[in-house]
Amino acid sequence: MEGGSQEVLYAPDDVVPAHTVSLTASDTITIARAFEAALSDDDAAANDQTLKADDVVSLVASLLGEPVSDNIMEFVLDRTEGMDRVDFKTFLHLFTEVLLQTTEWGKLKKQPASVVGFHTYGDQMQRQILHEGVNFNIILVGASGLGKSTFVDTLFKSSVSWRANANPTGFGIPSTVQIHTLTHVLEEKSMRVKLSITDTPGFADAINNADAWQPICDFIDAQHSAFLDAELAVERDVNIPDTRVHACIYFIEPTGHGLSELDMQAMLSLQERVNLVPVIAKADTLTRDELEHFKQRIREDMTTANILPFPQSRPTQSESQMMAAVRLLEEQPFGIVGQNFTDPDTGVRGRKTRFGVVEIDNSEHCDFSKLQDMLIRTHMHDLRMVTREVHYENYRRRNLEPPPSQDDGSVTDDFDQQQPPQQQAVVDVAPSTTSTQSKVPAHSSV
Amino acid sequence: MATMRTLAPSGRRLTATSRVGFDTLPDQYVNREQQRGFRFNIACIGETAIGKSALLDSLFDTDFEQKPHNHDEEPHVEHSCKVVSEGGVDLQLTITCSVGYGDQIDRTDTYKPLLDYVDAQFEEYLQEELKMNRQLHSYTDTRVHACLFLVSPTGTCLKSMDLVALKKLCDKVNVIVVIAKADTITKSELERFKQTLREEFAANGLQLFQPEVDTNQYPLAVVGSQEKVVIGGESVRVRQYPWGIVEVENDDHSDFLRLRNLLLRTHLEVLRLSTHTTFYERYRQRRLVDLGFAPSGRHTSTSGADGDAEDVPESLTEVYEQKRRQYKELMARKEQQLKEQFMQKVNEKEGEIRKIEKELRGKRDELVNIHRSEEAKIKAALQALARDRAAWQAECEARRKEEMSKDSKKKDKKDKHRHK
Repeated sequence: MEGGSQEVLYAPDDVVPAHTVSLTASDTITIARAFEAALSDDDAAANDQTLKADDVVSLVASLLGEPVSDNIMEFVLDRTEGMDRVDFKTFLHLFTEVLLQTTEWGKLKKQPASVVGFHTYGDQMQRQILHEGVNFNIILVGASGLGKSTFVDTLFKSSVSWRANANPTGFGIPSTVQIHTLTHVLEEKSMRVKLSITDTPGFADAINNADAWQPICDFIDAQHSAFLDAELAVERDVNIPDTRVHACIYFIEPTGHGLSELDMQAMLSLQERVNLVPVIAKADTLTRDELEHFKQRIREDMTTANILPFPQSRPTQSESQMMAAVRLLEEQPFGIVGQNFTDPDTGVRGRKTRFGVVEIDNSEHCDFSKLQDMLIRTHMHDLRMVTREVHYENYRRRNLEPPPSQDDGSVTDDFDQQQPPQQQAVVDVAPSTTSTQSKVPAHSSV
Repeated sequence: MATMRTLAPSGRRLTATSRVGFDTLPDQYVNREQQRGFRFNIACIGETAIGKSALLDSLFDTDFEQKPHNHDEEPHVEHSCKVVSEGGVDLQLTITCSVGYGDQIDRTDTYKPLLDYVDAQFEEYLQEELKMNRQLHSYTDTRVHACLFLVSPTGTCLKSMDLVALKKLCDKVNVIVVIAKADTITKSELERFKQTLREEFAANGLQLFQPEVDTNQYPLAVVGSQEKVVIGGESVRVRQYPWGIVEVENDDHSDFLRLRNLLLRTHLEVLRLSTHTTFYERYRQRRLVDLGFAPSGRHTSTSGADGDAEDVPESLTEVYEQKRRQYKELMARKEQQLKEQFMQKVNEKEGEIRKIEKELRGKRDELVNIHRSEEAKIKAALQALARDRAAWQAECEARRKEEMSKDSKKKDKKDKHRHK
């Protein structure tokens, strides 16, 4: 079974044919009636009992109930491509194939006469998730002083950043890019989230920032690689610890002029590996108009450079999801402000300056609440899902596919290229109360 | 090698100062999954006319319109897809029934079609998982999540063919053993029968799906029916006998409601997950070991005592590389062969051409010789001719001279005469 990379490696001996939908008598009658109804609309068809190929889609839609998903429509259009007219038998065959692919069966759904009990299926799934808990890993990328640590503390309303947990002697600005990861377990209403926050001090702080994003990309790839290795093992864990980075929050300096070259290069590299969420740091230094203008510039820059932030619209999404994604994209990148102060009387979180208090949770003052909603309340599952299904699969494909052969007739192997770049992730799990000596090991790149 | 991040031994549990919001994650998850569609695959195995279709119809309280079978069918499986909908939740069911189980005189392999079917679904999933461009998130999961094993209510013990079938099936799928036609067996007989069955299962080490803590109720004894009768204003599934009515959904009459709640209300997701995490993993490991992978995945067997160059591959990446290497070598060898053949042909042709060239040259030389000899002959002939000509001319000259001298003599003589 050697050959192209699309081929399956091991041939099954004897596979029972795929599932079929055996339509019951009553179902067939329903379909036949609908078919006849469609026939009667079209006069010319009444003679030879065939339906125009164009009407097939609308017939399928009427049977399945609106709205028909795009996949189904494409499938039907594909199948009826060469055909001019469709008779009942062909239509029945086509329709059974359509039925296999969707659970939206419209009129053909069976309703149990009394309550059977599987309407609790959603609850059962939720119970499973609550029982297991989830992993959520984010990485913060941006120049130092932009408020990354403050932001993440504000977001999760607890001291999760490394600065909050670090030795109070402080570190200064490191000269090379370092990767610091802290892991916490946050629990809310019996939903446990194992949160890993990776900070990257030293990014864009050197004089020569060429390839400053490379260590970060290597780190992300290393997580994918670790998961891939665990997944490929013969005896593997059922719950492979998921350290893949689900979101990368990229902090843009509030210059007001658009994206810098470093930003664009870094974002281009990052978006291939991870969901990219660009944010404008310290947005309270810009007035509202300046902020709007800045956002506009950034969006234009990103469009020109082909940078797609999360949420990208994907073909598997429904209409409403795509609309929501478009709406979100229109407001991105979000301008955020970190909290340094809580009003003792009202409990309002804010940033207190000489001129006043910027309220964090007020959407008039900054976009923090919108970002929080997107990251946690509405799109957290999407972030994890896109990482799992898109970025991880891309990584897997790149790593398992043999590189394009550069043979000039010789049998030289290029296996060295197969090894993904491995990276040392620095684990700093010293709680703030115990050890006084937190290590800052230099990060080594392969 | 990337190091996995670990929590410090103290763990670190933080509490947020106020609501962060990820308690909505389960809802997000369920919404996504609902868009994809919920699927559940259930199999049913039992002797002919033991009540498989009736049980399924009663479980979901609908009419699946499955064809009844009689005893002369070859053992095979029949599967079909239906969608049942309740309370906004659409569940796509795949119902697989074994047909002809236990109908043959020789019953050794009568359970095999279902077992093969279960294996085939695992195999399909494995193939999809091993592909380069896999689409696991949109893959239609056809693996059997639960298998209802209907045991006929003999009242005394388990049939030997059932025992054999159970042993094989328990390894591959969540098996729920139910006693069918529970209305034909009295209460005390039922208790004893259940006890016997439990002992037999324990004695044979069978791992059945029995999640409830109170194991004394297993196996569940059920009644199924496809008939409905109006009782007290409601349409109820019943079995009507001359002496009374057995209600399917009555807890006193059978364990049917307990089975339904177990299967649908509480453990639907559990069944699905355990199929994926336990049975599929087991299948995958066995299959990969069969294909030649080291089970531990940690050490390759370098104990090639007989100088064997082939190591057992460590992981799938190694296998990919190895196959690629083999393929490349094969291609290189083929290329080499082709080259040799080509060279051989070229040499042959060259030899032939040389031979022909030689012949031609020989011919040419011959012709040249002939030509030369002819030329020489002609020259000689020409010379002879020239000599003859010269000789003839000389002769003519001489004759003319003679003539002339004769003439002059004659003339002289004439002159002499004249002058006298």
